[in-house]
Amino acid sequence: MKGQSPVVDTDRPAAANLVGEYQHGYHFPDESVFKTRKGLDEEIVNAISHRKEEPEWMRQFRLRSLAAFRKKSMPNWGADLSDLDFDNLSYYARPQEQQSRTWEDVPANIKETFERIGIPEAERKFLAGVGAQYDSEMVYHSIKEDLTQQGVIFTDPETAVREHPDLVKQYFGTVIPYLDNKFAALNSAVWSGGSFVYVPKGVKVEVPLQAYFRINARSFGQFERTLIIADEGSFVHYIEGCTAPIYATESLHSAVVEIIALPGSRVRYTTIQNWSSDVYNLVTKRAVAHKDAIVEWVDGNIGSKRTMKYPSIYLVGEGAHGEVLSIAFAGKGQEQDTGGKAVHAASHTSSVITAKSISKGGGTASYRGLLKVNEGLHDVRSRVVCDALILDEHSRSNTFPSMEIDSDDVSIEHEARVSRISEEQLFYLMSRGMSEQEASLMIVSGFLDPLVKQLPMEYAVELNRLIELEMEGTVG
Amino acid sequence: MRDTVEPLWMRTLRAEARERFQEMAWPTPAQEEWRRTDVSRLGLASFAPGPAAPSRPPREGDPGAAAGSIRFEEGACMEVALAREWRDQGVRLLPLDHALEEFEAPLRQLYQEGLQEADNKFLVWHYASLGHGALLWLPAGLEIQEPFFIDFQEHGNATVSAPHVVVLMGAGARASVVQRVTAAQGADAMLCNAMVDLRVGDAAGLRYSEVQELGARDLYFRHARASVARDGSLRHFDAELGARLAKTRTECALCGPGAEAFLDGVYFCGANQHMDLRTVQSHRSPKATSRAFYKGAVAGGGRTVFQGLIDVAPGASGTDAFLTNKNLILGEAARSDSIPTLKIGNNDVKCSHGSTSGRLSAEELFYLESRGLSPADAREMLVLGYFEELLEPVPERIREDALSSIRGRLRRAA
Repeated sequence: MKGQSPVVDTDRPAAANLVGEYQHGYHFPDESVFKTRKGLDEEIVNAISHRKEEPEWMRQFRLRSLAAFRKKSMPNWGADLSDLDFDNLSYYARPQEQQSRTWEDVPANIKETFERIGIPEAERKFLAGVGAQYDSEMVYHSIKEDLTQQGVIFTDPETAVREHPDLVKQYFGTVIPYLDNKFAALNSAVWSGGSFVYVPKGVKVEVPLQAYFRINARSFGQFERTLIIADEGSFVHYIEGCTAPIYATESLHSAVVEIIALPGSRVRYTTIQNWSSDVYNLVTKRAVAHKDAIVEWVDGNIGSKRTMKYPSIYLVGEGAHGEVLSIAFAGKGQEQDTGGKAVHAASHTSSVITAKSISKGGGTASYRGLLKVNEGLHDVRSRVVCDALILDEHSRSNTFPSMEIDSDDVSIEHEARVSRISEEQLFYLMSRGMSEQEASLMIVSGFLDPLVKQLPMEYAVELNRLIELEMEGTVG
Repeated sequence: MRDTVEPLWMRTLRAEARERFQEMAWPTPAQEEWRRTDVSRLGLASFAPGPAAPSRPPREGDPGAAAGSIRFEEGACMEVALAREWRDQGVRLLPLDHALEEFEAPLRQLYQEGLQEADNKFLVWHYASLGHGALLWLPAGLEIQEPFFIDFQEHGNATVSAPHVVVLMGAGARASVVQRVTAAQGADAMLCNAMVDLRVGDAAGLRYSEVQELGARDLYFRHARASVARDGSLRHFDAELGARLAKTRTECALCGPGAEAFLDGVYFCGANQHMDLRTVQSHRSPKATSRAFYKGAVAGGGRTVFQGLIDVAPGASGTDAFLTNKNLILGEAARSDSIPTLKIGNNDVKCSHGSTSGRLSAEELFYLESRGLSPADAREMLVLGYFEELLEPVPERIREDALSSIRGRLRRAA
């Protein structure tokens, strides 16, 4: 496809004015590529909704969200977002089946990384945003048939709005209301792409559902919207993102992910985020765990310029259990403000939050979390552990956990440690013949091991290679 | 003391504080430190400044077993006593308004610094309404075993009082200060906006212990500011027991290699009480050590917040810091928030924090009851035992005060 697709220069004034020209009645030229002008207002939101041929209720939802977005203030905590200019962004680009960039446009360091972590040839172009057809259609096709037979719905949210409006209406925006925070409001107004998953009662999906398989033809969205509903007694493992750096032209990524784990179900959600180093990654992820349900977030943050992401679990049914495993790697110029939240709203619930962070090259890694136990509950247990490794004297590590306990029958433990690679460990490994570089890498790998173990094997392999790459040039 | 005898610099400082007070807004829950303590419904404007009560010249008294003592009632200094031995060796214990001349340079600097750094309206208010308070000065090299007592019995009638304590320690000096803040019996609700400023010089050692037992309707704001120089050591302890609302900040800067600070405390929060405590271990120099350890108990209907921070400056390598907060939840509808935080600016550090929350162990209660203790006695024994590790090392006067207050309240609750 490369080379044959019409190359669209989005900076061209005509393209920038597309919406403006068609503001009366929202007629859009039947062009294959469509991108809204910069800035955000009702017109843009209407245009997006129109473009997606959405029902009126969704359009209204978007407009309400836009109003909320305007009203909500920026967080006065967390990563430094002062450079973020909402008026200088464009909020919708039509999923790119035809690509606007060529392989030559991809920066050398990104190509190098693909090479080093061993991303298959076919995937590279896809990940770099230049090859639309990642050759997984065949793989996915057979999985899809299997899923359909079990009654599993795995599609994009646009299709879900069209084909499963009842499910969408019942659950969409219930875990993360559009009023939740500024970025959730933004996403609710302009969402595009993402995944919609419904797993019927008792169905255990054996293969992990990978966003990869499905969204290959649509590319990763800027404002993804993912909704996962696991019906009673079901199980699903959803994997989003990948270890390879994602080369994005847009500087803001703001996703919303909602999970509903109905009684007795189990949902595991794995993300490895590796946006290129100019991206603001401001994501709201939240799950509701009903009676005896289990929700697990495995959340890795390697890339981006600024990330603010705190996967949350609301334990609303007795016997529910939640786990968050968070890892952050903050290198030069990066601020990873990540963590996890567990809100206990029912008795006999338990949660574990484990966070590991590494900062190097002047980067800042911050753990920010919340553990909340509502009033009048019994037998609530939680443990929050944060470990941080600072690799050089220019880097920073912060820990901001917050524990709000409103019940007496609880057992809450929290620990945090910040340290550097110990000289004894280095000395020992070096005395066994390793170079300082190798020894540091081994210690860092050991530090991250608990997380890496939780990943499917191919991800673990890629992540290990990536850490190796990130660690290059770091000494002690 | 608010009369014309005040030196010009003091009047200037007061005027500046008043001006900033007018400009500044009250802290709101939008600010992290005030997120859990909403002061907007306290009717702060209704508290009038307390009556100006210039101190009489300090009356010599007999400090008894103490090294010295100073006592304030309703904003006036009632008595100052200093053992002759120490007075002859240069120790000073004075009401602040009598210290302005002799200690002009350090006081001026501390006040100006404090006002400059004041980052909320309560602190500015404190400087605007500076009234009674005490100064303790220890010359270099003097080591004193016996404690110094500072007692504040604050007044009521919808007034605001701003007691202020300054402790200045010369190099190598050692001392122990025991401070009590109480309310006059039967007084109306008041607002006590207190400040403590502790300067620990090179290789000096200060043990400062405070117990606060204000009345059930009072509001208490307290800011302790401390700095510890090279090889110096500070052991700061506070027991927060009284007041309807207590909001404190205990901040210690470690300013030289070898400096150490222990910020310890206990809080017992009954029904209808709200306590919000903050500690800051601020490492500004390499190779310093700090520990903060706070234990609280909250009864049904009470609310506690503990916010601790270890803040390590980029150049402070070799820092060793630890922060622990434990909370015991004693009843239904009790709330306890714990927010221990770390801000670490370099990699050569050993920093950690821990926090636990839980209730009395059912097994332990059962065991004690099976040995013949009544449920109330078993509970009392366990709660007092819980506080023991922090109360054991503090001066007897504070320990006894704290224990009897906690015991009394547990009994009333039972």
